[in-house]
Amino acid sequence: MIIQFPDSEQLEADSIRAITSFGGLRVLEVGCGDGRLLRHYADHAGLAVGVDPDPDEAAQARSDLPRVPFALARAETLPFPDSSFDLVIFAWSL
Amino acid sequence: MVHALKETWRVSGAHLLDIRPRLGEPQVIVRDRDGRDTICGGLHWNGDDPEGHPHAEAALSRVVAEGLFTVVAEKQFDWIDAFESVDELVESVGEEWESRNLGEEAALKLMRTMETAGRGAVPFIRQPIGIRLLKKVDSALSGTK
Repeated sequence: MIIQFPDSEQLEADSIRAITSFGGLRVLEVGCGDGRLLRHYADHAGLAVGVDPDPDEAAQARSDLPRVPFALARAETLPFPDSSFDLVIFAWSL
Repeated sequence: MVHALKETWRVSGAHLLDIRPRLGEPQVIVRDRDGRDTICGGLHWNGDDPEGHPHAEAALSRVVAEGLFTVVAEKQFDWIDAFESVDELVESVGEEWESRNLGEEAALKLMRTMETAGRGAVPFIRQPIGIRLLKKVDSALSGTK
């Protein structure tokens, strides 16, 4: 018998979808790193934006997800107007 | 962190989603070919900061207490990293878990359990992850920054 484990990234994405929907929403992920989680929902959101203070992580994210806007910023000073997103995500980053 | 959450309250029109490992040590486990699990021990915290994101939890509790957000849904799942061998697991812990290590006792039990379990056994690390959906409270307007 070959032991199989669930894909943890997929399980994470499925667990998130069980309590919220991304359909058409404007979503901001704070501390998005290399965009690991973003790639699971970017196509479902109306708008998906990532921010991270680390230029190397942001560069990797931009390279992997060229259609997603990324900004270099810290969580304490987000360069966006009031109420500009429907959902803000902290994924392992708070 | 409270400041970051208040900034989040400003840019969010509706919801905040917080995904974070739960308190407690990730467990090192061996699953044998019949699907039986043996817990060998935990990954001990050796970081400079207190274990388990207490500042994040405290900050979140504070903004909820201040009426900026209210929790509307919670869910938990287990993040599992499976390995082909004990060596691979130990190497991964050394490289990827900056603030945790595998104690000597757990390492010994892991090796013995793998020997006993025989062919087809798989060592893995299990870490519970919590997901919380919070709704922005629009009436919390002034005096929040």
